[in-house]
Amino acid sequence: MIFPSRLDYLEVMAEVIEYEIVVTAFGDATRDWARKRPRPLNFYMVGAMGHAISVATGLALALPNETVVVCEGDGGLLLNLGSLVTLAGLQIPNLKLLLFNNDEYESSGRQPLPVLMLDYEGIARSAGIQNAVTVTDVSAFREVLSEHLAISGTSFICLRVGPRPVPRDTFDLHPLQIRSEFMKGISAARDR
Amino acid sequence: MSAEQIARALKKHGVEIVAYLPESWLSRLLTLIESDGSFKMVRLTREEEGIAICCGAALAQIRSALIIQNSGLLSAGNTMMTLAQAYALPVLMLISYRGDARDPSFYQVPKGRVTERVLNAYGIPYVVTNPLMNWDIEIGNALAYAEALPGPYALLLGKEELA
Repeated sequence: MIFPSRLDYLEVMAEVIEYEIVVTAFGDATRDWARKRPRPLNFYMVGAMGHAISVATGLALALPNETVVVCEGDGGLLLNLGSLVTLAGLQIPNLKLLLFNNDEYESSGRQPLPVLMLDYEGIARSAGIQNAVTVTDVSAFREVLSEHLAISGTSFICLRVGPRPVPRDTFDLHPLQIRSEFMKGISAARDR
Repeated sequence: MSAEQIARALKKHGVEIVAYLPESWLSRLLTLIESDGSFKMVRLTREEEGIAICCGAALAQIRSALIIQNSGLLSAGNTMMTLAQAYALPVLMLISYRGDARDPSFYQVPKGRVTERVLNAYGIPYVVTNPLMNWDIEIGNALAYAEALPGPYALLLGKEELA
């Protein structure tokens, strides 16, 4: 089975996302989303691999009236697997986690993860995130994402990702620039 | 009764989120903060994620505090630099200072002997506290200092301060 590429999934996300805060993990999630849908409510990580979920957790706790979507890779999650347990312990209603599962460290040259085909949905469930689902095609993703954004509760969507069809883009926003744009975006969202 | 004063000061100065990893010296302070009921408590599985959670709160301009032992400081370097420092985000760390000259147990000393040097190497300002401090002023200043940097800032707390 050939899974959709990350870009295919992000295409759907770009259609569905409106006012949500989006945090993207360092690597191709940041690069691809910044190209696909640049917007002030995006927080692009360009370091701290494995900590996108934690940043999103802090944001979701601090902004209970906003919905926070975080895009993390499987390699990043494994670097900080405990963050899933921390998140589950909080039971934050406004955090939606999208896990891009391609079984490799794609950004660094497609090196395989130590174990392939891990049951990430099962890991999330056993941590205590009941809204956990695995998706293998874009139409299912469209449906699940809309549904999970509409309900209250921490959600976990594991996206099975196939190979990238095109070379990746460069990304050259400085962290201070990212911070400044994003904080302006949040202020505007608060005034909405 | 420094622990009570520290807990009160955190509340007074608008700290809403407290992320922590327990440790015996911190136990009393954490109990006081938890039982206050007004803080959003984050039970961490590893200290480094607490840095990132506080950074998330800082992006929303909500005050937070990270309460950990210095062991956690020693394992949180990457996120302190590539997130808090790189994005200039204030993170107030209340750190129990194990293994310094006041805590000469052989299993703590390996951490205590390098803690301040590690903070200096990372360029993170800090204060080694003492039991005579006015915690209202100290915590207020620490939060303001972290925000003025903006970046990570540490208070290294001894056993007496946490009593």
